[in-house]
Amino acid sequence: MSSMTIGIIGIILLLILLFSKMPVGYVMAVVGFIGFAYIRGYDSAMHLLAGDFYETFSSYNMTVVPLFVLMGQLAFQGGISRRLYDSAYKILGKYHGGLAIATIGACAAFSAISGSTSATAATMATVAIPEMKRYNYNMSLATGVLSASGSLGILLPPSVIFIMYGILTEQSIGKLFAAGILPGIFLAGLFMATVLLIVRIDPSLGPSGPNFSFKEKIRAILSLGETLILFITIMGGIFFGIFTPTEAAAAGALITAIIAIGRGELSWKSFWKAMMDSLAISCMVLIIVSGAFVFGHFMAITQLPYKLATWVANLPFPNYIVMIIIIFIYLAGGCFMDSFAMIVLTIPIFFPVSQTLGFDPIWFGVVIVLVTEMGVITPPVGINVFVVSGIAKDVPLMVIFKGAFPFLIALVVCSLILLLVPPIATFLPSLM
Amino acid sequence: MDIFDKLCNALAKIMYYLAGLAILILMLLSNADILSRLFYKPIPGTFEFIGYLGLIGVSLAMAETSIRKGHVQVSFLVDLLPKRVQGVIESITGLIGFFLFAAITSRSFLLALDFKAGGYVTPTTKIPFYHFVFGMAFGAALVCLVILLDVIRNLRMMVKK
Repeated sequence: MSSMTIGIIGIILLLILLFSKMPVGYVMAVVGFIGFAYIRGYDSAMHLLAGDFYETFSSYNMTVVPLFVLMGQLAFQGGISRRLYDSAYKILGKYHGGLAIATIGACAAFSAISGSTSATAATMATVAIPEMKRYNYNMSLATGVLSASGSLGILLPPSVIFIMYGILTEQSIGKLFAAGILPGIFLAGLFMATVLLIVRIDPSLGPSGPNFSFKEKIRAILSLGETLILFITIMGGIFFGIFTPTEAAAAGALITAIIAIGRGELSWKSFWKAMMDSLAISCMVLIIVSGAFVFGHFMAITQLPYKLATWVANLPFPNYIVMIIIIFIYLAGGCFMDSFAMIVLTIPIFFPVSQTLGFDPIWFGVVIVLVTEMGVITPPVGINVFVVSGIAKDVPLMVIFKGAFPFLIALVVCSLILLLVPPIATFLPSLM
Repeated sequence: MDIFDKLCNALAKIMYYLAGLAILILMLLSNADILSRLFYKPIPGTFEFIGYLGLIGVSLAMAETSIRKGHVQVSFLVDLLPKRVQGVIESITGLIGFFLFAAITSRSFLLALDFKAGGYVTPTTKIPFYHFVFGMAFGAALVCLVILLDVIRNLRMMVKK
Protein backbone atom coordinates (compact mmCIF):
# COMPACT_ATOMS: atom_id res chain seq x y z
CA MET A 1 0.00 0.00 0.00
CA SER A 2 1.42 3.41 -0.93
CA SER A 3 1.98 6.00 1.79
CA MET A 4 -0.58 8.26 0.04
CA THR A 5 -3.26 5.56 0.39
CA ILE A 6 -2.36 5.11 4.06
CA GLY A 7 -2.69 8.88 4.52
CA ILE A 8 -6.16 8.90 2.96
CA ILE A 9 -7.26 5.91 5.10
CA GLY A 10 -5.90 7.83 8.11
CA ILE A 11 -8.09 10.84 7.30
CA ILE A 12 -11.17 8.61 6.90
CA LEU A 13 -10.43 6.92 10.25
CA LEU A 14 -9.95 10.36 11.79
CA LEU A 15 -13.41 11.47 10.62
CA ILE A 16 -15.05 8.24 11.88
CA LEU A 17 -13.48 8.55 15.34
CA LEU A 18 -14.14 12.29 15.43
CA PHE A 19 -17.89 11.78 15.10
CA SER A 20 -17.86 9.00 17.72
CA LYS A 21 -17.70 11.49 20.62
CA MET A 22 -14.05 10.75 21.35
CA PRO A 23 -12.08 13.82 22.51
CA VAL A 24 -10.58 15.57 19.47
CA GLY A 25 -7.04 15.56 20.89
CA TYR A 26 -7.18 11.80 21.55
CA VAL A 27 -8.49 11.11 18.04
CA MET A 28 -5.62 12.94 16.35
CA ALA A 29 -3.03 11.25 18.58
CA VAL A 30 -4.51 7.75 18.04
CA VAL A 31 -4.77 8.06 14.24
CA GLY A 32 -1.31 9.66 14.02
CA PHE A 33 0.13 6.88 16.18
CA ILE A 34 -1.47 4.01 14.23
CA GLY A 35 -0.53 5.50 10.87
CA PHE A 36 3.05 6.21 11.93
CA ALA A 37 3.36 2.69 13.39
CA TYR A 38 2.10 1.17 10.12
CA ILE A 39 4.70 3.00 8.03
CA ARG A 40 7.71 3.28 10.36
CA GLY A 41 7.10 0.53 12.93
CA TYR A 42 5.73 0.28 16.46
CA ASP A 43 8.88 1.44 18.27
CA SER A 44 9.22 4.63 16.22
CA ALA A 45 5.54 5.40 16.76
CA MET A 46 5.85 4.94 20.55
CA HIS A 47 8.83 7.25 20.54
CA LEU A 48 6.94 9.83 18.45
CA LEU A 49 3.85 9.71 20.69
CA ALA A 50 5.61 10.29 24.01
CA GLY A 51 8.08 12.67 22.39
CA ASP A 52 5.39 14.92 20.89
CA PHE A 53 3.43 15.08 24.17
CA TYR A 54 6.61 15.77 26.14
CA GLU A 55 7.82 18.46 23.68
CA THR A 56 4.43 20.21 23.68
CA PHE A 57 3.87 20.14 27.44
CA SER A 58 7.41 21.28 28.27
CA SER A 59 7.67 23.92 25.55
CA TYR A 60 8.39 27.44 26.84
CA ASN A 61 6.17 28.89 24.09
CA MET A 62 3.21 26.74 25.11
CA THR A 63 3.13 28.13 28.66
CA VAL A 64 1.56 31.22 27.11
CA VAL A 65 -1.73 29.26 26.97
CA PRO A 66 -2.39 28.69 30.71
CA LEU A 67 -1.19 32.23 31.48
CA PHE A 68 -3.46 34.03 29.00
CA VAL A 69 -6.41 31.81 29.95
CA LEU A 70 -5.69 32.57 33.63
CA MET A 71 -5.66 36.29 32.86
CA GLY A 72 -9.13 36.10 31.30
CA GLN A 73 -10.46 34.07 34.23
CA LEU A 74 -8.98 36.51 36.75
CA ALA A 75 -10.57 39.42 34.87
CA PHE A 76 -13.92 37.66 35.19
CA GLN A 77 -13.52 36.69 38.86
CA GLY A 78 -12.15 40.15 39.67
CA GLY A 79 -15.22 41.93 38.23
CA ILE A 80 -13.36 43.61 35.33
CA SER A 81 -15.86 42.22 32.80
CA ARG A 82 -18.78 43.61 34.83
CA ARG A 83 -17.17 47.05 35.08
CA LEU A 84 -16.52 47.08 31.32
CA TYR A 85 -20.19 46.42 30.67
CA ASP A 86 -21.26 49.07 33.21
CA SER A 87 -19.09 51.67 31.49
CA ALA A 88 -20.36 50.87 28.01
CA TYR A 89 -23.92 50.80 29.37
CA LYS A 90 -23.62 54.28 30.91
CA ILE A 91 -22.18 55.75 27.73
CA LEU A 92 -24.50 54.12 25.16
CA GLY A 93 -27.50 52.77 27.08
CA LYS A 94 -29.89 55.67 26.43
CA TYR A 95 -30.04 55.07 22.64
CA HIS A 96 -32.33 52.59 20.87
CA GLY A 97 -30.32 49.37 20.71
CA GLY A 98 -27.77 51.06 22.98
CA LEU A 99 -27.52 48.14 25.40
CA ALA A 100 -26.84 45.72 22.54
CA ILE A 101 -24.16 48.10 21.19
CA ALA A 102 -22.75 48.42 24.72
CA THR A 103 -22.57 44.62 24.85
CA ILE A 104 -20.55 44.54 21.61
CA GLY A 105 -18.23 47.28 22.93
CA ALA A 106 -17.76 45.47 26.24
CA CYS A 107 -17.11 42.16 24.42
CA ALA A 108 -14.50 43.88 22.23
CA ALA A 109 -12.83 45.38 25.31
CA PHE A 110 -12.98 42.08 27.22
CA SER A 111 -11.51 40.32 24.17
CA ALA A 112 -8.43 42.46 24.69
CA ILE A 113 -7.80 40.55 27.91
CA SER A 114 -9.40 37.20 27.08
CA GLY A 115 -8.29 34.74 24.45
CA SER A 116 -11.35 32.59 24.04
CA THR A 117 -14.58 33.05 22.12
CA SER A 118 -16.87 31.04 24.40
CA ALA A 119 -15.30 32.53 27.55
CA THR A 120 -16.05 36.02 26.22
CA ALA A 121 -19.64 35.07 25.34
CA ALA A 122 -20.22 33.36 28.72
CA THR A 123 -18.67 36.17 30.75
CA MET A 124 -20.61 38.94 29.05
CA ALA A 125 -23.85 36.97 28.94
CA THR A 126 -23.92 36.73 32.74
CA VAL A 127 -23.83 40.53 33.09
CA ALA A 128 -25.63 41.72 29.93
CA ILE A 129 -28.66 39.41 29.72
CA PRO A 130 -30.30 40.49 33.02
CA GLU A 131 -29.88 44.16 32.02
CA MET A 132 -31.32 43.72 28.53
CA LYS A 133 -34.19 41.73 30.03
CA ARG A 134 -34.84 44.55 32.53
CA TYR A 135 -35.20 47.07 29.68
CA ASN A 136 -37.50 44.78 27.67
CA TYR A 137 -35.05 43.98 24.92
CA ASN A 138 -36.15 41.35 22.45
CA MET A 139 -34.44 38.20 23.73
CA SER A 140 -33.62 36.97 20.25
CA LEU A 141 -31.62 40.16 19.60
CA ALA A 142 -30.06 40.12 23.09
CA THR A 143 -28.87 36.51 22.96
CA GLY A 144 -27.95 36.71 19.26
CA VAL A 145 -25.70 39.72 19.81
CA LEU A 146 -23.97 37.97 22.71
CA SER A 147 -23.35 34.74 20.81
CA ALA A 148 -21.86 36.62 17.87
CA SER A 149 -19.82 39.15 19.86
CA GLY A 150 -17.97 36.34 21.59
CA SER A 151 -16.20 35.77 18.27
CA LEU A 152 -14.32 39.02 18.85
CA GLY A 153 -12.54 37.12 21.64
CA ILE A 154 -10.33 35.17 19.26
CA LEU A 155 -9.79 37.89 16.68
CA LEU A 156 -8.66 40.63 19.05
CA PRO A 157 -5.42 39.75 20.89
CA PRO A 158 -4.56 37.85 22.98
CA SER A 159 -6.07 34.91 21.14
CA VAL A 160 -5.50 31.24 21.98
CA ILE A 161 -6.18 30.23 18.37
CA PHE A 162 -3.60 32.66 16.99
CA ILE A 163 -1.06 31.33 19.51
CA MET A 164 -1.65 27.78 18.32
CA TYR A 165 -1.67 28.76 14.65
CA GLY A 166 1.63 30.57 15.23
CA ILE A 167 3.23 27.58 16.93
CA LEU A 168 1.99 24.98 14.43
CA THR A 169 3.00 27.05 11.37
CA GLU A 170 6.13 28.65 12.91
CA GLN A 171 4.78 32.18 12.47
CA SER A 172 5.38 35.08 14.87
CA ILE A 173 2.67 35.14 17.56
CA GLY A 174 3.24 38.89 18.00
CA LYS A 175 2.58 39.49 14.29
CA LEU A 176 -0.56 37.32 14.40
CA PHE A 177 -1.83 39.28 17.40
CA ALA A 178 -1.19 42.55 15.55
CA ALA A 179 -2.91 41.15 12.45
CA GLY A 180 -6.14 40.49 14.37
CA ILE A 181 -6.53 44.04 15.70
CA LEU A 182 -7.90 45.90 12.64
CA PRO A 183 -10.23 43.08 11.46
CA GLY A 184 -11.45 42.75 15.08
CA ILE A 185 -12.26 46.46 15.36
CA PHE A 186 -13.82 46.42 11.90
CA LEU A 187 -15.98 43.41 12.82
CA ALA A 188 -17.10 45.09 16.07
CA GLY A 189 -18.12 48.12 13.95
CA LEU A 190 -20.07 45.87 11.57
CA PHE A 191 -21.87 44.21 14.51
CA MET A 192 -22.81 47.64 15.88
CA ALA A 193 -24.08 48.72 12.44
CA THR A 194 -26.16 45.52 12.31
CA VAL A 195 -27.80 46.39 15.65
CA LEU A 196 -28.54 49.94 14.46
CA LEU A 197 -30.12 48.55 11.30
CA ILE A 198 -32.27 46.07 13.27
CA VAL A 199 -33.61 48.72 15.70
CA ARG A 200 -34.18 51.15 12.84
CA ILE A 201 -36.49 48.59 11.21
CA ASP A 202 -38.22 47.79 14.51
CA PRO A 203 -37.34 50.12 17.43
CA SER A 204 -39.38 48.00 19.87
CA LEU A 205 -36.71 45.26 19.66
CA GLY A 206 -34.17 47.44 21.51
CA PRO A 207 -35.87 50.10 23.66
CA SER A 208 -33.80 52.99 24.99
CA GLY A 209 -32.38 52.66 28.50
CA PRO A 210 -31.79 55.26 31.23
CA ASN A 211 -29.87 58.48 30.61
CA PHE A 212 -26.84 59.13 32.82
CA SER A 213 -25.35 62.50 33.70
CA PHE A 214 -22.31 63.86 31.85
CA LYS A 215 -20.21 63.40 35.00
CA GLU A 216 -21.17 59.74 35.26
CA LYS A 217 -20.32 59.20 31.60
CA ILE A 218 -16.86 60.73 32.07
CA ARG A 219 -16.34 58.51 35.12
CA ALA A 220 -17.41 55.52 33.02
CA ILE A 221 -14.87 56.40 30.31
CA LEU A 222 -12.12 56.81 32.91
CA SER A 223 -12.89 53.40 34.42
CA LEU A 224 -11.97 51.80 31.09
CA GLY A 225 -8.39 52.79 31.97
CA GLU A 226 -7.51 49.50 33.71
CA THR A 227 -8.33 47.49 30.58
CA LEU A 228 -6.36 49.96 28.49
CA ILE A 229 -3.33 49.60 30.80
CA LEU A 230 -3.51 45.81 30.48
CA PHE A 231 -3.85 45.94 26.71
CA ILE A 232 -0.98 48.41 26.30
CA THR A 233 1.25 46.34 28.62
CA ILE A 234 0.61 43.14 26.68
CA MET A 235 0.54 44.39 23.10
CA GLY A 236 3.06 47.20 23.62
CA GLY A 237 5.48 44.75 25.26
CA ILE A 238 5.16 42.23 22.42
CA PHE A 239 5.02 44.86 19.66
CA PHE A 240 8.22 46.62 20.77
CA GLY A 241 10.03 43.37 21.59
CA ILE A 242 10.24 44.03 25.36
CA PHE A 243 8.40 40.81 26.27
CA THR A 244 8.06 37.36 24.79
CA PRO A 245 4.35 36.40 24.50
CA THR A 246 4.84 34.14 27.58
CA GLU A 247 6.22 37.04 29.63
CA ALA A 248 3.43 39.31 28.40
CA ALA A 249 0.87 36.72 29.50
CA ALA A 250 2.54 36.28 32.92
CA ALA A 251 2.71 40.05 33.45
CA GLY A 252 -0.89 40.45 32.23
CA ALA A 253 -2.15 37.77 34.65
CA LEU A 254 -0.28 39.31 37.58
CA ILE A 255 -1.42 42.88 36.80
CA THR A 256 -5.04 41.67 36.43
CA ALA A 257 -4.79 39.98 39.84
CA ILE A 258 -3.24 43.13 41.40
CA ILE A 259 -5.99 45.39 39.92
CA ALA A 260 -8.72 43.04 41.17
CA ILE A 261 -7.13 42.67 44.64
CA GLY A 262 -6.62 46.45 44.81
CA ARG A 263 -10.33 46.96 44.18
CA GLY A 264 -11.13 44.40 46.87
CA GLU A 265 -12.88 42.14 44.35
CA LEU A 266 -10.55 39.15 44.31
CA SER A 267 -10.41 36.87 47.30
CA TRP A 268 -8.02 33.94 47.64
CA LYS A 269 -11.01 31.67 46.95
CA SER A 270 -11.94 33.41 43.68
CA PHE A 271 -8.27 33.54 42.65
CA TRP A 272 -8.05 29.80 43.12
CA LYS A 273 -11.34 29.29 41.26
CA ALA A 274 -9.86 31.24 38.31
CA MET A 275 -6.75 29.05 38.47
CA MET A 276 -8.74 25.80 38.57
CA ASP A 277 -10.98 26.80 35.64
CA SER A 278 -8.06 27.95 33.52
CA LEU A 279 -6.17 24.68 34.17
CA ALA A 280 -8.92 22.54 32.63
CA ILE A 281 -9.17 24.81 29.56
CA SER A 282 -5.38 24.88 29.11
CA CYS A 283 -5.10 21.12 29.51
CA MET A 284 -7.79 20.59 26.88
CA VAL A 285 -6.01 22.97 24.48
CA LEU A 286 -2.55 21.42 24.96
CA ILE A 287 -3.80 17.85 24.52
CA ILE A 288 -5.38 18.88 21.22
CA VAL A 289 -2.11 20.51 20.14
CA SER A 290 -0.06 17.44 21.14
CA GLY A 291 -2.48 15.26 19.17
CA ALA A 292 -2.17 17.63 16.22
CA PHE A 293 1.62 17.27 16.31
CA VAL A 294 1.39 13.45 16.30
CA PHE A 295 -1.15 13.57 13.45
CA GLY A 296 0.96 16.19 11.62
CA HIS A 297 4.05 13.96 11.78
CA PHE A 298 2.03 11.06 10.37
CA MET A 299 0.73 13.29 7.57
CA ALA A 300 4.29 14.47 6.86
CA ILE A 301 5.65 10.94 6.30
CA THR A 302 2.74 10.08 4.00
CA GLN A 303 3.61 13.26 2.06
CA LEU A 304 -0.12 13.68 1.48
CA PRO A 305 -0.26 17.45 2.30
CA TYR A 306 2.64 18.23 -0.02
CA LYS A 307 1.25 16.14 -2.87
CA LEU A 308 -2.16 17.76 -2.29
CA ALA A 309 -0.50 21.20 -2.33
CA THR A 310 1.29 20.44 -5.62
CA TRP A 311 -1.91 19.06 -7.14
CA VAL A 312 -3.92 22.12 -6.06
CA ALA A 313 -1.21 24.48 -7.33
CA ASN A 314 -1.38 22.82 -10.75
CA LEU A 315 -5.17 23.07 -11.01
CA PRO A 316 -6.30 25.23 -13.93
CA PHE A 317 -8.04 27.71 -11.58
CA PRO A 318 -6.92 31.08 -10.29
CA ASN A 319 -5.61 31.06 -6.68
CA TYR A 320 -8.60 32.88 -5.28
CA ILE A 321 -10.96 30.09 -6.46
CA VAL A 322 -8.85 27.58 -4.49
CA MET A 323 -8.97 29.94 -1.49
CA ILE A 324 -12.77 30.10 -1.77
CA ILE A 325 -12.91 26.27 -1.84
CA ILE A 326 -10.71 26.14 1.30
CA ILE A 327 -13.00 28.71 2.96
CA PHE A 328 -16.06 26.58 2.19
CA ILE A 329 -14.36 23.53 3.74
CA TYR A 330 -13.64 25.54 6.92
CA LEU A 331 -17.17 26.93 6.89
CA ALA A 332 -18.70 23.45 6.63
CA GLY A 333 -16.32 22.03 9.24
CA GLY A 334 -16.96 24.94 11.58
CA CYS A 335 -20.67 24.04 11.62
CA PHE A 336 -19.87 20.67 13.20
CA MET A 337 -16.76 21.31 15.22
CA ASP A 338 -15.26 23.70 17.72
CA SER A 339 -13.34 26.39 15.79
CA PHE A 340 -10.10 25.75 17.70
CA ALA A 341 -10.21 22.01 17.05
CA MET A 342 -11.12 22.58 13.40
CA ILE A 343 -8.13 24.86 12.80
CA VAL A 344 -5.60 22.69 14.65
CA LEU A 345 -6.90 19.60 12.86
CA THR A 346 -6.64 21.03 9.36
CA ILE A 347 -3.45 23.10 9.59
CA PRO A 348 -1.17 20.14 8.69
CA ILE A 349 -3.20 19.68 5.50
CA PHE A 350 -4.13 23.18 4.32
CA PHE A 351 -1.19 25.30 5.45
CA PRO A 352 1.23 23.73 2.90
CA VAL A 353 -1.44 24.29 0.22
CA SER A 354 -1.74 27.97 1.14
CA GLN A 355 2.03 28.37 1.00
CA THR A 356 2.33 26.68 -2.39
CA LEU A 357 -0.28 29.11 -3.67
CA GLY A 358 1.80 31.99 -2.33
CA PHE A 359 -0.67 33.35 0.26
CA ASP A 360 0.65 35.47 3.11
CA PRO A 361 0.73 33.05 6.10
CA ILE A 362 -0.42 35.75 8.55
CA TRP A 363 -3.33 36.83 6.35
CA PHE A 364 -4.29 33.18 5.73
CA GLY A 365 -4.39 32.63 9.52
CA VAL A 366 -6.69 35.61 10.09
CA VAL A 367 -9.03 34.56 7.27
CA ILE A 368 -9.48 30.97 8.47
CA VAL A 369 -9.95 32.08 12.09
CA LEU A 370 -12.68 34.47 10.95
CA VAL A 371 -14.35 31.87 8.77
CA THR A 372 -14.39 29.11 11.40
CA GLU A 373 -15.80 31.65 13.87
CA MET A 374 -18.98 31.66 11.81
CA GLY A 375 -19.40 28.07 12.96
CA VAL A 376 -19.79 29.12 16.60
CA ILE A 377 -23.18 30.68 15.79
CA THR A 378 -24.47 28.25 13.17
CA PRO A 379 -26.39 25.01 13.81
CA PRO A 380 -26.00 22.16 14.61
CA VAL A 381 -22.87 22.78 16.76
CA GLY A 382 -22.92 26.49 17.55
CA ILE A 383 -20.74 26.52 20.66
CA ASN A 384 -21.43 30.16 21.57
CA VAL A 385 -25.17 29.67 21.12
CA PHE A 386 -25.02 26.71 23.53
CA VAL A 387 -22.99 28.77 26.01
CA VAL A 388 -25.45 31.69 25.91
CA SER A 389 -28.40 29.30 26.08
CA GLY A 390 -26.90 27.83 29.25
CA ILE A 391 -27.13 31.28 30.84
CA ALA A 392 -30.42 32.50 29.27
CA LYS A 393 -32.19 29.23 30.14
CA ASP A 394 -35.68 30.50 29.23
CA VAL A 395 -34.73 31.34 25.63
CA PRO A 396 -35.12 28.40 23.17
CA LEU A 397 -32.03 27.46 21.15
CA MET A 398 -33.66 28.20 17.80
CA VAL A 399 -34.55 31.73 18.95
CA ILE A 400 -30.85 32.37 19.71
CA PHE A 401 -29.75 30.91 16.36
CA LYS A 402 -32.32 33.18 14.67
CA GLY A 403 -31.09 36.19 16.64
CA ALA A 404 -27.50 35.46 15.66
CA PHE A 405 -28.29 35.21 11.95
CA PRO A 406 -27.98 38.96 11.08
CA PHE A 407 -24.55 38.93 12.76
CA LEU A 408 -23.56 35.92 10.66
CA ILE A 409 -24.17 38.14 7.61
CA ALA A 410 -21.86 40.74 9.19
CA LEU A 411 -19.20 38.02 9.62
CA VAL A 412 -19.57 37.04 5.94
CA VAL A 413 -19.20 40.70 4.89
CA CYS A 414 -16.11 41.07 7.08
CA SER A 415 -14.55 37.92 5.56
CA LEU A 416 -15.23 39.10 2.01
CA ILE A 417 -13.65 42.48 2.72
CA LEU A 418 -10.64 40.77 4.29
CA LEU A 419 -10.30 38.61 1.17
CA LEU A 420 -10.48 41.62 -1.12
CA VAL A 421 -8.35 43.96 1.02
CA PRO A 422 -5.60 41.85 2.69
CA PRO A 423 -3.77 44.91 4.14
CA ILE A 424 -6.51 45.11 6.81
CA ALA A 425 -4.72 42.12 8.36
CA THR A 426 -1.17 42.58 7.06
CA PHE A 427 -0.63 46.32 7.63
CA LEU A 428 0.05 46.28 11.40
CA PRO A 429 2.34 43.20 11.32
CA SER A 430 4.33 44.86 8.50
CA LEU A 431 5.28 47.62 10.95
CA MET A 432 6.90 45.15 13.37
CA MET B 1 -16.04 0.13 42.83
CA ASP B 2 -17.20 3.20 44.76
CA ILE B 3 -14.10 3.17 46.91
CA PHE B 4 -11.91 3.06 43.76
CA ASP B 5 -13.88 5.94 42.25
CA LYS B 6 -13.52 8.01 45.39
CA LEU B 7 -9.81 7.26 45.67
CA CYS B 8 -9.19 8.08 42.03
CA ASN B 9 -11.20 11.33 42.25
CA ALA B 10 -9.37 12.40 45.40
CA LEU B 11 -5.98 11.68 43.83
CA ALA B 12 -6.93 13.55 40.64
CA LYS B 13 -8.06 16.52 42.73
CA ILE B 14 -4.81 16.62 44.74
CA MET B 15 -2.79 16.49 41.50
CA TYR B 16 -4.98 19.26 40.09
CA TYR B 17 -4.14 21.49 43.07
CA LEU B 18 -0.44 20.72 42.60
CA ALA B 19 -0.80 21.61 38.91
CA GLY B 20 -2.36 24.95 39.96
CA LEU B 21 0.58 25.55 42.27
CA ALA B 22 3.02 24.86 39.39
CA ILE B 23 1.26 27.44 37.17
CA LEU B 24 1.22 29.96 40.04
CA ILE B 25 4.99 29.52 40.54
CA LEU B 26 5.46 29.76 36.77
CA MET B 27 3.61 33.10 36.68
CA LEU B 28 5.55 34.51 39.64
CA LEU B 29 8.91 33.27 38.31
CA SER B 30 8.31 34.85 34.90
CA ASN B 31 7.39 38.20 36.51
CA ALA B 32 10.36 38.05 38.89
CA ASP B 33 12.61 37.44 35.89
CA ILE B 34 11.17 40.47 34.04
CA LEU B 35 11.74 42.73 37.06
CA SER B 36 15.18 41.29 37.79
CA ARG B 37 16.17 41.77 34.14
CA LEU B 38 14.96 45.39 34.19
CA PHE B 39 16.87 46.39 37.31
CA TYR B 40 19.76 43.92 37.54
CA LYS B 41 20.19 40.79 35.42
CA PRO B 42 17.93 37.87 34.37
CA ILE B 43 17.33 35.02 36.84
CA PRO B 44 19.46 32.12 35.53
CA GLY B 45 17.51 29.12 34.25
CA THR B 46 14.11 30.88 34.07
CA PHE B 47 13.56 29.79 30.46
CA GLU B 48 14.11 26.09 31.20
CA PHE B 49 12.18 26.05 34.50
CA ILE B 50 9.16 27.73 32.94
CA GLY B 51 9.03 24.88 30.43
CA TYR B 52 9.25 22.19 33.15
CA LEU B 53 6.68 23.93 35.37
CA GLY B 54 4.36 23.99 32.35
CA LEU B 55 5.01 20.26 31.84
CA ILE B 56 4.07 19.49 35.46
CA GLY B 57 1.09 21.87 35.37
CA VAL B 58 -0.50 20.27 32.32
CA SER B 59 0.46 16.65 33.12
CA LEU B 60 -0.99 16.72 36.62
CA ALA B 61 -4.16 18.49 35.44
CA MET B 62 -5.00 15.84 32.81
CA ALA B 63 -6.87 13.41 35.07
CA GLU B 64 -9.16 16.00 36.68
CA THR B 65 -9.82 17.56 33.24
CA SER B 66 -11.00 14.10 32.09
CA ILE B 67 -13.21 13.75 35.18
CA ARG B 68 -14.71 17.20 34.48
CA LYS B 69 -15.34 16.10 30.85
CA GLY B 70 -13.36 19.15 29.86
CA HIS B 71 -12.28 17.92 26.43
CA VAL B 72 -13.71 19.11 23.13
CA GLN B 73 -15.67 16.34 21.43
CA VAL B 74 -18.14 16.15 18.55
CA SER B 75 -21.16 14.63 20.24
CA PHE B 76 -24.21 15.63 18.21
CA LEU B 77 -24.26 12.46 16.06
CA VAL B 78 -23.81 9.95 18.93
CA ASP B 79 -26.38 11.87 21.03
CA LEU B 80 -29.02 11.02 18.40
CA LEU B 81 -28.52 7.26 18.92
CA PRO B 82 -30.34 5.06 21.50
CA LYS B 83 -28.76 5.12 24.99
CA ARG B 84 -27.56 1.52 24.73
CA VAL B 85 -25.71 2.13 21.44
CA GLN B 86 -24.25 5.32 22.94
CA GLY B 87 -22.95 3.23 25.84
CA VAL B 88 -21.31 0.72 23.47
CA ILE B 89 -19.64 3.47 21.40
CA GLU B 90 -18.44 5.34 24.49
CA SER B 91 -17.00 2.13 25.96
CA ILE B 92 -15.08 1.39 22.74
CA THR B 93 -13.72 4.94 22.40
CA GLY B 94 -12.93 4.87 26.12
CA LEU B 95 -10.82 1.75 25.66
CA ILE B 96 -9.00 3.34 22.71
CA GLY B 97 -8.27 6.36 24.93
CA PHE B 98 -7.06 4.01 27.67
CA PHE B 99 -4.56 2.34 25.33
CA LEU B 100 -3.40 5.73 24.07
CA PHE B 101 -2.58 6.96 27.58
CA ALA B 102 -1.12 3.60 28.57
CA ALA B 103 1.31 3.99 25.67
CA ILE B 104 2.15 7.57 26.75
CA THR B 105 2.64 6.39 30.35
CA SER B 106 4.99 3.54 29.53
CA ARG B 107 7.06 5.47 27.00
CA SER B 108 7.42 8.63 29.12
CA PHE B 109 8.40 6.42 32.08
CA LEU B 110 11.16 4.91 29.90
CA LEU B 111 12.12 8.40 28.72
CA ALA B 112 12.51 9.53 32.35
CA LEU B 113 14.64 6.46 33.11
CA ASP B 114 16.81 7.27 30.08
CA PHE B 115 17.25 10.88 31.24
CA LYS B 116 18.16 9.64 34.72
CA ALA B 117 20.61 6.97 33.51
CA GLY B 118 22.22 9.35 31.03
CA GLY B 119 22.71 11.99 33.73
CA TYR B 120 20.93 14.63 31.65
CA VAL B 121 20.76 18.09 33.29
CA THR B 122 19.25 21.47 32.39
CA PRO B 123 21.63 23.53 30.19
CA THR B 124 21.95 26.62 32.43
CA THR B 125 21.44 25.54 36.03
CA LYS B 126 22.75 21.97 35.57
CA ILE B 127 19.89 20.42 37.54
CA PRO B 128 18.58 16.91 36.63
CA PHE B 129 15.11 17.16 35.08
CA TYR B 130 14.03 13.53 34.88
CA HIS B 131 11.73 14.09 37.92
CA PHE B 132 9.50 16.27 35.76
CA VAL B 133 9.25 13.54 33.13
CA PHE B 134 8.26 11.02 35.83
CA GLY B 135 5.57 13.57 36.74
CA MET B 136 4.27 13.41 33.17
CA ALA B 137 4.24 9.57 33.29
CA PHE B 138 2.32 9.69 36.58
CA GLY B 139 -0.20 12.19 35.18
CA ALA B 140 -0.80 9.97 32.13
CA ALA B 141 -1.15 6.85 34.35
CA LEU B 142 -3.83 8.64 36.37
CA VAL B 143 -5.72 9.44 33.14
CA CYS B 144 -5.63 5.68 32.32
CA LEU B 145 -7.23 4.96 35.68
CA VAL B 146 -9.92 7.62 35.21
CA ILE B 147 -10.80 6.32 31.72
CA LEU B 148 -10.82 2.68 32.85
CA LEU B 149 -13.16 3.40 35.78
CA ASP B 150 -15.38 5.38 33.42
CA VAL B 151 -15.57 2.44 30.98
CA ILE B 152 -16.35 -0.03 33.80
CA ARG B 153 -19.08 2.31 35.12
CA ASN B 154 -20.49 2.57 31.61
CA LEU B 155 -20.54 -1.20 31.09
CA ARG B 156 -22.16 -1.83 34.49
CA MET B 157 -24.90 0.65 33.69
CA MET B 158 -25.55 -1.05 30.35
CA VAL B 159 -25.75 -4.48 32.01
CA LYS B 160 -28.20 -3.16 34.64
CA LYS B 161 -30.50 -1.77 31.90
